Amino acid sequence: MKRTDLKRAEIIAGLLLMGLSIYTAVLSTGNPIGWQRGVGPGAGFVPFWLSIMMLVSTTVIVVKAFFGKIPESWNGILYFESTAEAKMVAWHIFSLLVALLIVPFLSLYGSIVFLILFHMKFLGRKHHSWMTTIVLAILYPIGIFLFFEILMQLIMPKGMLDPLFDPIFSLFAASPA
Amino acid sequence: MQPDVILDSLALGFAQIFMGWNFLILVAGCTAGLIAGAMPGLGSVNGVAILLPVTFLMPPTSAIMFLAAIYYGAMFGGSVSSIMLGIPGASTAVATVFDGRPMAVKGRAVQALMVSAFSSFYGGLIGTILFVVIAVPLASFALKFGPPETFVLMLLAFATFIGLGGDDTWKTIFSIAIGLLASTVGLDTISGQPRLIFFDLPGFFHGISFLVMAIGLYGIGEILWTTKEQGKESSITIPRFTLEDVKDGGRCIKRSFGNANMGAFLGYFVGILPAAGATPGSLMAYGLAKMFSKDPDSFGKGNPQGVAAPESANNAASTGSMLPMLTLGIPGSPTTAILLGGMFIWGLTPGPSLFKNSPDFAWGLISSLFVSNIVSAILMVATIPMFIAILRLRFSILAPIIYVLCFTGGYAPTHSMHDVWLMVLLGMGGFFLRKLDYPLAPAAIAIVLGPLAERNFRQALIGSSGDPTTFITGSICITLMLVTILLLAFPLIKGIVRNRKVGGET
Repeated sequence: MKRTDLKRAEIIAGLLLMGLSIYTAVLSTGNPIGWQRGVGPGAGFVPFWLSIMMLVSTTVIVVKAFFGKIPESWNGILYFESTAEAKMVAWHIFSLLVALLIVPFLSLYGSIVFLILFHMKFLGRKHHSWMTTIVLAILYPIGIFLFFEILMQLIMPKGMLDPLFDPIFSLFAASPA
Repeated sequence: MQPDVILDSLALGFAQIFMGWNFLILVAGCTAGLIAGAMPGLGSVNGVAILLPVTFLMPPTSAIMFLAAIYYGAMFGGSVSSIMLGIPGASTAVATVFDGRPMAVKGRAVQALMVSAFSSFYGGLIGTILFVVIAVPLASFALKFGPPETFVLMLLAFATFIGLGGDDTWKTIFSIAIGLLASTVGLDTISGQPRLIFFDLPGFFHGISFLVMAIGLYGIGEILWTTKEQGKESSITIPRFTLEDVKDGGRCIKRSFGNANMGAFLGYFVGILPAAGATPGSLMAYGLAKMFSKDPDSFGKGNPQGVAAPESANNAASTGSMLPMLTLGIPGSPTTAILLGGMFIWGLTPGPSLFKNSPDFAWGLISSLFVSNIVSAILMVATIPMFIAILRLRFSILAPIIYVLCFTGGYAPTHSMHDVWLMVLLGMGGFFLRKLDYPLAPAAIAIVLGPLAERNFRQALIGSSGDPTTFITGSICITLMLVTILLLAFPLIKGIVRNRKVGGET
């Protein structure tokens, strides 16, 4: 991950947010942005003017940064202080994205197992034994399943493994109330 | 109502609590509420909705005591995940994250939980006393709040964030605007037209839930931030639980008592506004606490006053929101809407005659609010060591546990993986902007208040045939608008005063 100073980061972020503001302003015009007889302000009125407000504020932020008007505390500060810091954030983001990609195939419970194994054995390998990791990787998904799906009756995503859960549900459904 | 009549009625109510199994039912309700509130993605609404069928087996008085206890327990529990994990369990606990989480990160979780427990208790106590004493006149005043008044009240809430100083004004404006914009995504409630459906993704039709943004910014974003700030393998904080911490917690409670007091009265009043509920009350209390603080810059960095005000307000408001439900049949919050449904099922008719026709029910409920408040506070304080133990876990264990709770919290409201993806993306966006001092709190507040603000804005304009002067008509609107303008001008005034001081010194 590239290390960059905060002034440059401020300008880049501001420009991206300006782009987002323009996009939302244009998208808002898909609905009426003016006054409609009998209905009042159109459905696009509020989103459009909020987008304009975002555009104005980000423009001011970019112009200020461009002319060097940044907080004094930012001088000499990098966005990421070290490559190790940037790498660690990147690993966390990577684990989140992989965990989400796993869900349609191995269910939420598969992604829980992945997250625990990845963080405990890859990122924190010096501190956790295989025994602790495996115990947590088994007990935590079971706890989440029992609390959310059985006790609170909130169905969690199971993807392709959905049919495998049917016997477990019928087990609980068969138990006397 | 005469004081002796009130006391007699309360005695009748307290007698109800200690009849049969009622007290145990109440303790069970508080415990269930505390757990539901502490669990990200669940709140009093889920707890009350899921356990409502259980109450059909009970007499109405026991049933309402059980549900009110869940409601109260959840209000206490909501602060736990906000403080310990940085994930607001419900919208009512969003404001508690702003300072509660930084306190926990600095190793002051005990103090934060103690301030939260006391303030919640105090807010609930004041709310219940006000409920008993000045319920009827306040209910009629709240009815004077039509769409223009409610919109100007929302405007005031946003203006407090711009006027508070500390953060870059333009970044605060951007943060409010993007939060409000996010609240407009999905089907327009007035015209029914779809709006801002990004890239034609069907997941945007149901809008962006405040939980998705709040959990993304404060759950995912917080862990990424901690990863960046604290390096590879370290504890998320330096958790302690010593006698000195408990004593310091007592000092924090003492110092923040004024804020708890302000939060209680403000929260109660906002809570009784029809369709407002505890969330706007807690957010406004946080804004006012920051505005009147001698050290507003310390807010958002772990100031106990920033925990006391919203926690007191949300409990007072949860009591207040029961008032329009009982006296007028208008629910003040989603939870009270379910309670109202329960009342119909139990064969009770809400309205002014409820206190005459079913005094054991009405006063049993009020007395159970007093007792639930005490029981919930005791339960919360008793479980502090357990919550502290969570923080002692290594970051490499805590991070995946929190990520999973974020996933379940983001998924539960809509059962859509689209929302979980969005939550992670918002968390990443919030993380990258945080380094550049973009304030996140205004965005979280805006997405919560946005639908209420827009609906009232448009209804007010429709009602006045498009005449914008409706927002400065009537004494309530004018007063609120003047305060709003003063708040918006505050950074400008502060700048002028600072320049004069600098000029004078040189």
